Amino acid sequence: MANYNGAKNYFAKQLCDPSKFLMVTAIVGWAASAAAQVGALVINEKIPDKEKKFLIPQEIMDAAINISLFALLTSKLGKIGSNFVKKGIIVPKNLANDLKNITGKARTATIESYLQKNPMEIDKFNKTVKSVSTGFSLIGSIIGGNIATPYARNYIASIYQNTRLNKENPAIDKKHTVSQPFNGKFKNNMDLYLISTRNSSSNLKI
Amino acid sequence: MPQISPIRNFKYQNKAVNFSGSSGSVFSKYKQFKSDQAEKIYNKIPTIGIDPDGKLINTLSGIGGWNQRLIMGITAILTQPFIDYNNKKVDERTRKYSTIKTVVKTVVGTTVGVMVRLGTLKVAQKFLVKGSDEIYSKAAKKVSSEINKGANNGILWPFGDKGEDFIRTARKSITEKTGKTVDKAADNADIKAYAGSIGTALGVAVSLVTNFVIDAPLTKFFTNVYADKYGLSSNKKEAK
Repeated sequence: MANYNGAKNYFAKQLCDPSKFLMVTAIVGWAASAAAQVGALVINEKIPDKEKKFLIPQEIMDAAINISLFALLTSKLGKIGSNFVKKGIIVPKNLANDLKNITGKARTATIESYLQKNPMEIDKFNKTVKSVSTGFSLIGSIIGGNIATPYARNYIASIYQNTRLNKENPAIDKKHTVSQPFNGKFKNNMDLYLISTRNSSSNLKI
Repeated sequence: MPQISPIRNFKYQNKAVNFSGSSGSVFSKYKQFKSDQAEKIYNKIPTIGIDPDGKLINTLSGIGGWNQRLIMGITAILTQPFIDYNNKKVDERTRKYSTIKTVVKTVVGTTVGVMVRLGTLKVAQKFLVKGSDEIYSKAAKKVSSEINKGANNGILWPFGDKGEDFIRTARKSITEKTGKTVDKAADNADIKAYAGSIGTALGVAVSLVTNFVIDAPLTKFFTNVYADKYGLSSNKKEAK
């Protein structure tokens, strides 16, 4: 506890902002988790190569897209959340009465004068800013991490799997993909490739 | 000195403005435009009053590492397996593998992640509350000695404005000398948040290890168990 104040300055003032902190922890967590999961997939001999060609890029893309979306979407939503409070849209109840019939920039000025007159309300206002920001960030991370990311990672991983299977079977590739180019009927093409590659195998090098 | 005609001067000024802003002006104009548009939208939304001490705000302000992990885990199990199983861009077998892996990874990852983060939070809280109590007991002694000095000088305490002013001054001087505040009530929330941050940071550090030592092996094990159960890895030739 000797350096309590020094550490406090660093952690409490920088990282106690929940939206920022959630982002840092999430990024580190995803990167480490993806590395571990990819390692486990690579050494898992029970999973056929064909499935590994999908599952490994899926795992890598999961982390990459998650991190990107989290940084882009969540941070922006967190900022919008705090602006919602600072601009007088979601405010503590007592303050809301003062803002009832006011619109536009006057709201910000009213908030400032209210807090100057009622310094005891500053903590509550700041608490609301942080909480609303965290709420918005959380919604962003759920939409980004658990809805958008799975669709995007699956799409990219399926393209990768298909490309690899095509490369390993160029004869089949020419026969089917040239005469029947990809036009949204991915499943049919995939089925052809899978039949053709059922008895072939190769080591995946990633 | 050559005279600069007003016209030339005007042109020069114009050029200077344009030149200096040639790379920045578009960007700054765009930024301004974006900010103006956002402002317009913000201004159109009516005000909503919310109880700062209510359940929603208190819950959101208390969200830390483990809560976040749990929320993300629960929503992941509700959405991701469904998305994986309905991924028509791959064959059924890959789809099933992907779904099994996602379910197992989410359940294992959430369970281990929440436990680790909760554990490190408890450790941090125990350590920090003990530490803060030491700080406060030392600081409190100093305050009481300062108060005694003040009382000897005829300052009334704890009643009246003078007494309150004195306590405030004493606290301020202690804060300046030691860098530590003595207003425990005001600092409680700060210490709690600080403990939360330390706990979560520790949790992430521990997770770096558990991801490799617990999560990945367990995910591998249970993926294989369920793959066998659904007859996905029955063809040994293909597996190799």
